[in-house]
Amino acid sequence: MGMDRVFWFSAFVIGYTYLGYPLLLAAWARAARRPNRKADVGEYRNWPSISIVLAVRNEAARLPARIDNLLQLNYPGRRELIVVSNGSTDGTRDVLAEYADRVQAVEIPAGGKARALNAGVSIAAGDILIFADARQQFSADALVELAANFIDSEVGGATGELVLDSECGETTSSVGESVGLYWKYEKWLRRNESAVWSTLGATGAIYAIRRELWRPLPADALLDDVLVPMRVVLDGRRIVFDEKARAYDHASTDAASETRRKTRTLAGNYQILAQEPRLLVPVLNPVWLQYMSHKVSRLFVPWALIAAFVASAVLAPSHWFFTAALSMQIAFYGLAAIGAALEARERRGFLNQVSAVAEGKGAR
Amino acid sequence: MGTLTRLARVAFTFVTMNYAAIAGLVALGRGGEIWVGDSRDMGQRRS
Repeated sequence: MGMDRVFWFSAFVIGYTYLGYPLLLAAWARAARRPNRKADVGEYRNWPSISIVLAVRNEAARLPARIDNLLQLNYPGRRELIVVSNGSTDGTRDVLAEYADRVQAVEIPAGGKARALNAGVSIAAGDILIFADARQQFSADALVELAANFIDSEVGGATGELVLDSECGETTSSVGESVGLYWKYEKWLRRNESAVWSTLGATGAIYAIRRELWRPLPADALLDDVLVPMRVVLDGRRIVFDEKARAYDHASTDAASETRRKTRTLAGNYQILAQEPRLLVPVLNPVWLQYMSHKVSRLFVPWALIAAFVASAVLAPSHWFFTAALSMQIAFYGLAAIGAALEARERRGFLNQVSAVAEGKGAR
Repeated sequence: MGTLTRLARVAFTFVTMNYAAIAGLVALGRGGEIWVGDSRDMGQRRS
C-alpha cells in the first residue's frame, strides 16, 4: 500500500471514530428513534423486588455513608442489599457487622471484582439486580427510575447516569475538567445509542438487569459493566440509558489515575472480544455497527495516529499538503506536551500544599 | 484559564486516552495485579 493510502485510511479511522460516527448516530436517532415504555413512577404499584449488589475492597471509611444512602433511597417494593467484601484487610468487616440486620454481608478471599459480583448475585433473590460501587451516592429516586424501565419486556437492563462534579464546573483540577468534557461526549453517544436501540454497555456505578439474564462472569473479567449488558443485548434485549437515575461522583484529579482507569477500560475492550466473539458477527450482534464504530474503532485509533504521523512525515517532502498535515500533527503533539507539563506542575503544586499542611500540623 | 492552556489540556487528555489502548493491550498481555485490585482502583467505572 502506498504511503498516501496509509495516510488517508488512518485519517478516515480517526475522523470516523470521533466525528463521522457521532454525526451518523445523531441522524439515526433523529430519523428512527425507538423509545422504550416506562412506568409512571408516581402511579405504578407493582414494583419488582430488587437486589442491590455492592462489591467492595478496603472501603471501611466510605462504607457507612454508602450503605445509609442505599437503604434510604425511595423504593416501594422489596429490596435487599448485598455487600461483598473482596479480601478486605481494613475495618470493612466491623462496619458490615454494624449493619447485620439490614445488609447481607459476604466475605470472599481477594480475587477480583468479577468473583465478588458472582458471589453477590449467587445469593440474590430479587427479580432485578442493581449494581453499585462504594464511592458514589445515588439520587433519591434512582432505584424507582431504574426499575420503572422493566415494565417494557424488550428492556433487559437499564443504566443510570454518572454525574461528575467536573461537569458542573465544581472541580479545581484541569484534568478533572478535561475528563468532565470527555464524559459529556461519551454520555451523548450513549443517549443516542439508547434512542436507536441499546447502549453498548452500562455505567458500572449504576446499572440494573433482569436476574434471569445474568450469567456468571469469567473470574478475570475486567469490565463487568460492558460484558454483562452486551450479553443481554446478544440475547435480544436492549439496555436503556435513563438520565433520571443518577449517581454522583468526583472526577479523577490527576492524569495518572485517569490514564490507569482508561488503560484498564481499553484492555477490557480487547478482552471482551475474546470472551464474546459473537460481538464481531453482524448477524449475531443486533448493535454490530454501533459496537464496531464506538468500541472497536477506538482500539485502532492510536495505531492510526502513529500511521498518519509516519505517512505524512514520509510524504512531506513531496507535497505541500502532507507538509501541512505533518506540521499540524507536530503542533498538536506539542500542545499535548504543554498540557502534560501543566499537569505535572499542577500536581507538584498540590503535593507541595499537602506537604506544607502536614509540616504545619507537625510543628504544632 | 486561557484558551491555549485549555486546548493544551484537552490535547493532552486526547493523546493519553487514545494511547491507553496500546498500554491496555500490553498490560493485558502481561497480566497484573492492577486488574483485580483495590476498589479505589475499580471505583469509578465508566467503561
